[in-house]
Amino acid sequence: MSAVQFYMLKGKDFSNAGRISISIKRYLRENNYPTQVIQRVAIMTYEAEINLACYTRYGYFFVYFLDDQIKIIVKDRGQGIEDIDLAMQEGFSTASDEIRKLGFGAGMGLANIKKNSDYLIIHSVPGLGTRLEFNVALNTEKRGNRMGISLQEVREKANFELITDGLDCSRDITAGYVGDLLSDVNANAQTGNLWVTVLTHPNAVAVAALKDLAGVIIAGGIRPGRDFVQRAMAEGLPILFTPLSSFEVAAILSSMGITGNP
Amino acid sequence: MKLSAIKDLLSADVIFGEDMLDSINVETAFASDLLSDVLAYSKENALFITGLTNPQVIRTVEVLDLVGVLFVRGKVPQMETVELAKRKGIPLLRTKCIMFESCGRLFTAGVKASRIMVD
Repeated sequence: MSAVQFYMLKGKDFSNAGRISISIKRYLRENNYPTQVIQRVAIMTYEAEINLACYTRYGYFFVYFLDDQIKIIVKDRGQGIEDIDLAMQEGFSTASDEIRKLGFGAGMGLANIKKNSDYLIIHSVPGLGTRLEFNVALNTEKRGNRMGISLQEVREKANFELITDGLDCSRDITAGYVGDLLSDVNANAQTGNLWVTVLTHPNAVAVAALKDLAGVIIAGGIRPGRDFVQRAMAEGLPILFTPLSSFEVAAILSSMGITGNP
Repeated sequence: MKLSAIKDLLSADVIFGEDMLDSINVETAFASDLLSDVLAYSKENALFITGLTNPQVIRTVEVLDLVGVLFVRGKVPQMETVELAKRKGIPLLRTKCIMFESCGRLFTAGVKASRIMVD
């Protein structure tokens, strides 16, 4: 099950606007999300698609299926929004006659997204484009932990080699993180993350331990030395090894339902 | 009320879905020429009554899980709209009645509003 979906829509493409939301809706249905959630996500993504078709040259959808929410980010290159407060008002619209003939441009789009979302964040640069971020919160008690995957499961499914023999791998992973700059990982990785890197210097172990990561996957095929493994053993930090590239490892983790940090 | 009964009540033509008319029961309806309003206010399983003819009508029906479309004022849907409805299995009816008359007859026959008023 993929935990992130990506779509693109071109501006003025009114005959295809709507396909993305239908596709997301079908996915939600197949995965037994509550009807209310499906409906709200479908309405919001559809309005966002119409906005892309109406006001932009092109735009992208990123849909994140997280433990506790469905988060959608829509980025476009287009005319942008001059006055966001005004654009949020029901009835306000800058739509052309062409758009109005289609039955849109009634000034309900953003208001409709806001109404159906648990939060909505809008950033816009007039003349350049707009970024929308909105979500629907899930009742997590009913749904169970979707990320609920341990290092052990990752190791078994992907057939990665555990080079810290005997270390406990049962810890749940909170998200994945890929990076080869220690300062970046130090700044952005979070507790319980599974870190994918090509670094084999013992300092990497120190950073991983400091950040309380769930484990490290050494990608790229360069096997870390004895000092690295010894330090990891001492820290109780499980290390997996694979000849695959970081990119391939990230793709495998993603296919298991592991996402980035929200 | 069955779609077939609605067809008779409004002397409507069936553009697509003749074989579905007896199996689809219409309990509620939403009439509008603004798709954003339908999206904002209609509930699922309603019959969509409109004078709009473009394919986004069908997308809206699909997004909201509506049961079918009744085109009013004799509007003929665009070919692309009909094609999309066929692909999605959404029945299309067309009446020469204006929207007010169409709604009035359906209401009298027992079809209720998909939503009584907006909050």
